[in-house]
Amino acid sequence: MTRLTVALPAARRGQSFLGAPRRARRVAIGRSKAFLAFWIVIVLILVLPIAVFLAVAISPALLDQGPAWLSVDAFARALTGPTLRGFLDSIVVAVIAAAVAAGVGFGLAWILLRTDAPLRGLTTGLLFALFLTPSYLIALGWERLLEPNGVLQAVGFDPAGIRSVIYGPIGVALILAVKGIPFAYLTVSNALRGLGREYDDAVRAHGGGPLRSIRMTVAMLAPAIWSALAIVFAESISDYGVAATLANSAHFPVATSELYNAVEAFPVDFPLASAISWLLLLLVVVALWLQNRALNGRSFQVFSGRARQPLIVRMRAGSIAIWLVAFVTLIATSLGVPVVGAVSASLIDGLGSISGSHAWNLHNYQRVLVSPELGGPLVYSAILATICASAAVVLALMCARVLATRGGSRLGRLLDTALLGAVALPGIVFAAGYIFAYNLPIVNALGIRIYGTSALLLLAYLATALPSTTRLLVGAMSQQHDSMSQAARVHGAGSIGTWLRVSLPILARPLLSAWLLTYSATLLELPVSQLLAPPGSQPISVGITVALNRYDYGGGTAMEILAILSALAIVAIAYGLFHLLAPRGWKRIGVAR
Amino acid sequence: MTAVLAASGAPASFELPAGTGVEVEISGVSRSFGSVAALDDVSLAIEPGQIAVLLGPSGSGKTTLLRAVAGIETVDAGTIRLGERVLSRRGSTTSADRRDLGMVFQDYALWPHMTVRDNVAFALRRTRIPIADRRARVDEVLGRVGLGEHGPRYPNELSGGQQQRVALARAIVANPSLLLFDEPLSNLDADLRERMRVEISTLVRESGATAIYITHDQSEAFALADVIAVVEAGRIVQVGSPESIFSHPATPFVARFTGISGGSNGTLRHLGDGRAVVDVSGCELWVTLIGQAMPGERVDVIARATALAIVPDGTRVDEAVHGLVEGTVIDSAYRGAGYDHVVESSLGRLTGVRDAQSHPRGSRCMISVAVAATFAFGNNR
Repeated sequence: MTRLTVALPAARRGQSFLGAPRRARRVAIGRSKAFLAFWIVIVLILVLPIAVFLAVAISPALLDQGPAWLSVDAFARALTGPTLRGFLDSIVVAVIAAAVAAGVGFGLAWILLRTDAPLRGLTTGLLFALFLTPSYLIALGWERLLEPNGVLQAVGFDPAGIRSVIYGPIGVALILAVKGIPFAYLTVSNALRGLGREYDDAVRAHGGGPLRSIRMTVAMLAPAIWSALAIVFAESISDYGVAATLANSAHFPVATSELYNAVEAFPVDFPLASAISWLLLLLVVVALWLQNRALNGRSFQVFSGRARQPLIVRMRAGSIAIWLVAFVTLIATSLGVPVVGAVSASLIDGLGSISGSHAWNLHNYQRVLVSPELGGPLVYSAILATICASAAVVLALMCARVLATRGGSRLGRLLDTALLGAVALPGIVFAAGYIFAYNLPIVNALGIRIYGTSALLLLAYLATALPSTTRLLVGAMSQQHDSMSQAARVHGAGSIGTWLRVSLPILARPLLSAWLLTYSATLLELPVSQLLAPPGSQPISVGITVALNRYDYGGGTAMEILAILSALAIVAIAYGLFHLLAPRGWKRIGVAR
Repeated sequence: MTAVLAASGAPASFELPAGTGVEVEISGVSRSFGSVAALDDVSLAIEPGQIAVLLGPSGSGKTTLLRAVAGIETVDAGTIRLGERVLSRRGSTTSADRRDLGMVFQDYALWPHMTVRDNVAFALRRTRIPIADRRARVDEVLGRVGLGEHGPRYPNELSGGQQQRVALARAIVANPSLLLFDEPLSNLDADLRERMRVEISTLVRESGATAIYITHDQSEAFALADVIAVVEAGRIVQVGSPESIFSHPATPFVARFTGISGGSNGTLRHLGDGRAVVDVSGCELWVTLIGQAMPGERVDVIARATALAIVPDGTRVDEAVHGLVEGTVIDSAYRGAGYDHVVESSLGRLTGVRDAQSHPRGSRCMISVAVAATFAFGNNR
């Protein structure tokens, strides 16, 4: 007879479980409090500043910004003079950028997924790097090469001809297109992956040739292509990085630079800034609406469980040669020029000044490492980025939990709408909203005095990071079936034990990735940093632009390179530690086999 | 097998037979999601050690009922009692981890970051048995489900059937008094399904635990159950042994859901000792009458496949035991032991009409209809 000593769970000890309602009530009250605190944070950082800021365009008197309780004056001003010009410029370059990015993105998706072209892995890496690189860093690289007294001039080449082309709408559209390519690629490639070979086979079986097959595939991918167009248009119209750098240097006004001017003007013109924000939002909404209309009810659902592996086209020598030329062009225009521009500029001593030696050495890096003025911003940004990434991951996890709940509550749908709206909201609008909302007399009267402090900058970072961090986690959260946690509960684990032993291991890798992406994005963030940097403290992006504005091109680019290297080092260390220290089972999750 | 069960924190220990089944009493349970009543005043009593199968179509509420028993779902009204303990009632629910259950989920819910051994051992944590005994117990149970060599593997390195066995091992390893099965075979192919069904039945009966098993497959239900509860639209419409439900379905729904060949409407002509003569499209047949009906009333007539057989022309039958209807063969399918035919007849389109030989499509045939497996449902049930 087998005898087994088993300590009874409470259930078998004859305890009255329903005699534990007091404990259940305490847990319920604790949950309610946490739930309330979560919503207060969401409203305070995400909803209220933007809502208050947007209200001022319609009702200036409501927030003491003018005599009228209801007015369209700010909109009228936004649609005249330089602001109108900025909007028209923005629309034109965004349309060009969207068309170019969607075309290139589609081509890349096709080549990477449907052919045996060489360098496919490298191309995917390039796209990922491009996705993470802020637009202002790409623009700054081009500027360093082409500007008067820039790198090309320092090595004896006069780039005036190219400069006249790049310093203007073509250059701005080019950089926005380059920045949009990863978005377009991701959108199209996701759809292309689900498009099995059977559609090709069906065309061939019914008498269609290769051309007919490609036309059919393009038609089936139309929803993805329209989405790519809409996404790149929305990203481009709300971009501030190029506006603050290349467009500014080229005296080419765009909508976001006009918004910045309205907030930085003296006296500050909040109603105008608010009206510009409304119009920017409207353009984003119109882009999404046009996408919807173009789709006309067609869906993305080309996936089926029966999808067969598509045919991989073997490239001939001629095609490979054309692809290699295209690849080199892509790498040169996207990251090549900016990297060469920034690295070479950082190695030239005294670049930007007429009097410098222009010798090639590491002097600029040495200055950044020893000078608090140049090195301080990197440390300051690293601290803020660490706090922001940690807080954003915790909050995003809570948001993702609400969004991933099956069926979804009304509050969940409300949160989803708020987060989607925030994704569409340009960072510069967030920053302007924060300046306005946290400078209101009523906020001071409530004892909230964080205007002009690092705390406000941090909150704004958090608000801009939260929507995208949530999106990153909600996918992983949705993939974790409820039954995983339920199985743990049914087999004896409490709620905390279930989280630690089941949910955390499954989410560990997405959590780490979300933290690192948020950290990197916050470290190099520009619009919020530029508008909300507290007196006496400069985030790295502001430090770089200040140095560049002082014509310290060498120091500015050395800061840029060190910031990027530090971010890459953090990513490498974090993934390295995860690889070394995480239990074997944790590392198996999410790894393709 | 007997297990010595020591109350945690208490020096004294006492003995319970391993996996002693517990009585489950579900009384007047209701649960709504918004305006949809998933469970409507459901009551069911299950004896200790019985396997009760909740049989119903998708959306009938059987999963909600199982989840309420597990403590994953709360109830709006009614009580769920395990033995002497009330575990759920309105506003008060004992959490799932304090219910002493084992459960096999439809998608198995194996934790992908844990090995097979860790998955199974998880359920032993609440028992606080020594680590060495735990390992022995896990190995013993893995051996019983045929996975003795697979302990160090991860779930995604196993086949669907092996994953199912791990889920089963996890459910039984701690000798719970109640085992819950949420359509555990629905993801398996037909052959594996039958083998796993036998294994589940054997292991559950060996464990002595009470089991609640949900499925929408009537053959699975009949094969496994001591008692079947047929669930329709949030209500239990019939409870009984497999035999009683097959031979006396309470409603046309129960009859249809537990396997019929076809059916039609007819007019009741005569009554007699639980049976009746009905006129179906001009053809008079003896049938088993369920419920109350008077001559002249319209009734639903439903025939099980077991009631039907193709007979040679001119066959004479005892009308009190069998009726005869004529039909046209629409389709014929070879089934190894014989042929299943689809026949258009006065009883409607009948499927699964068995004969040893094939009848060509379009040919006329005579079908004998067994009275015991052909039912007429009156309107006053």
